[in-house]
Amino acid sequence: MLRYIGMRILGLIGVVLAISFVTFMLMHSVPGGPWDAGKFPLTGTARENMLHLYGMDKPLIEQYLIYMRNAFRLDFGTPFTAPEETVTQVFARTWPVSLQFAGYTILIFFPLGIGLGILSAVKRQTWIDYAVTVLSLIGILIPSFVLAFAFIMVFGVAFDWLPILGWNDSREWLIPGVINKTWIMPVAIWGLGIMAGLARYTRAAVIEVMSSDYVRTARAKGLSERLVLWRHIMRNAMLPIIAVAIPMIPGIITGNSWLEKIFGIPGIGRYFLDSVLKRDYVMIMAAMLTWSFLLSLFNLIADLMYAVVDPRVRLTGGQIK
Amino acid sequence: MSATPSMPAKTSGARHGEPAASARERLIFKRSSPWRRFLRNPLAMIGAIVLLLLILSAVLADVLVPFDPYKAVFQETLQQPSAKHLLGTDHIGRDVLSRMLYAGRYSLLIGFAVQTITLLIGLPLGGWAGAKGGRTDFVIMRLLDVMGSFPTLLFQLVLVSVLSNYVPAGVWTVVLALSLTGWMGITWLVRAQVLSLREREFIAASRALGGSEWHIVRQHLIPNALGPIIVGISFGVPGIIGAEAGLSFLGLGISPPTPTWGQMLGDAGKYIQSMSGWYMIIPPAVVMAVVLLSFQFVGDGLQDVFNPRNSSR
Repeated sequence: MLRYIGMRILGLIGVVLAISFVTFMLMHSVPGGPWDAGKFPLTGTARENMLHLYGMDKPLIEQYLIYMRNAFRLDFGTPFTAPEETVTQVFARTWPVSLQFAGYTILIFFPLGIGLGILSAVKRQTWIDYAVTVLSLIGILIPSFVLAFAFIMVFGVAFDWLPILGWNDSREWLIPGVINKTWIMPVAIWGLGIMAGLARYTRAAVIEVMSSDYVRTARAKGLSERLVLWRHIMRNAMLPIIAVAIPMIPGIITGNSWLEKIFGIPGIGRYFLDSVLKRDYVMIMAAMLTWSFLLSLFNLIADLMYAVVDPRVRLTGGQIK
Repeated sequence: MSATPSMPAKTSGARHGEPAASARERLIFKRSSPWRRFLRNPLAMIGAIVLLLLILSAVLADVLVPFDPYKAVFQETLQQPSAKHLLGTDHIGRDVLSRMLYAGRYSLLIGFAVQTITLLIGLPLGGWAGAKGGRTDFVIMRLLDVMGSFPTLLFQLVLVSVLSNYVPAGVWTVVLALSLTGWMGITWLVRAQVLSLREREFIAASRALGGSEWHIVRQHLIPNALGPIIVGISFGVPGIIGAEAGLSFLGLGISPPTPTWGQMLGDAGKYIQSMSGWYMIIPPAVVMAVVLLSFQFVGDGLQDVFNPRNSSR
């Protein structure tokens, strides 16, 4: 087990290094830079001084190594387009907003998705099942920005119940300090997509376990439906659900560029969108590094949780995946 | 998992298997050929008809468009639908219906182009990994691991912005960016198919009977792997269309003035607060929803046809 964890951590480091290297080289393969004559009129010596100041006169490999050494100390540099803040300060300012947005979405819609999936599997081929199916089809297939427009037109404009812009607006408390009206639409729209995916997956996982031999045996022994469901079905169905739900988290806590743009939420997803539009590669590198690290980390966590829950993986050292 | 209750899931099916069909279901399926089942599936047929209409309108867009989709008429900006402009005009006076038709053409083109490129990567690479095994498989799988750990949206945005320096701007930057971030799934699928088929008895039997490698590939491997791959394609194309719409909506996909559904929505978003732009929002939103659902229904129908457990073969 320790060996397995060690190998996985090595793999994680390798993946993050590979991604940072590819991104760094990609970004630097683009002709032109911030001190080009056309964009920034500088004389020859002044230009060289600027390049030297930012370490851009060194060979690419050396620049990469310096960058990674600094990144390891969480120093990602200063964005070109907004030099009044360091990247770390930008993170500290915008990420909490996205985390709040993501937190509500996960806390409400993860349990809801798994619950609906179980319900529709247990009540298979009833109207509940069909309703959940239709809901999850809509949630999975329709992009969030399309749903957002539908929600805005109905609840925001036609009925005028909910604000269509802003986040944490102090004039829009539904229950002061508990629920802000600006949260409802973005969280509901994002949550619908997440819930849909989870419900669909959970339903399939539960149904698969329900048709297995040991469940038939458990029923044949005369166990109550309740006991069969919670002790035999859910215990086994939880494994694949964990394997899918945990790796979804990094993609959520790193913000949603579309919804943050539509609803004017000052989160990190929107900030990075602007950075890409302005080609601010300091911000893009930092995002790539952080996001890919989180993605690999949560994959690792999911696999470790799997190993803890599933004795087969524990004993064979992760042969079963 | 839409129309036919015997199908629990689209993607997880391959990994987790379906619950065994009841005896009655199996009997019904035995009597009908696989393609019959597709024709009898109402949702799949509706989806197929919608997609056929879409393809037809995309091909005939030049003939069908009432106006030049690129021509801005500044005397006629932001007009509500009328007899002249059936779906109204946008913020610089272009006919929305004409732009919708052209946008359909670009969406389909991108969907199928990206799917073709990913297949060209995924089929040989996945087949190679599955057939060779060992170190080859290990290296290819680690490559997939690394590619899968890229944050998709960020990577696509970076690729679009880097590629636009090398590829003529427009459709192809997006096609390349989506292909480079989207080939892993199909490679996985092909590898898994080859791996599981390789161990099956009928392949061993064919080998024991003296069947050549080529005979095995042609007679057993390809026909058996084809079904899941076709199903994968029918679920892959709408994913690509949605991804393109998402990029264009953010202003990083197809560059204007080329119309796409995502971009039209992005433009219309500026007018949503007053509701005055409803006629610019509804067409792309509704068409996109209908098209994506149609792909899903067709995919479900195809999965029914090809699912070996239900197949009468």
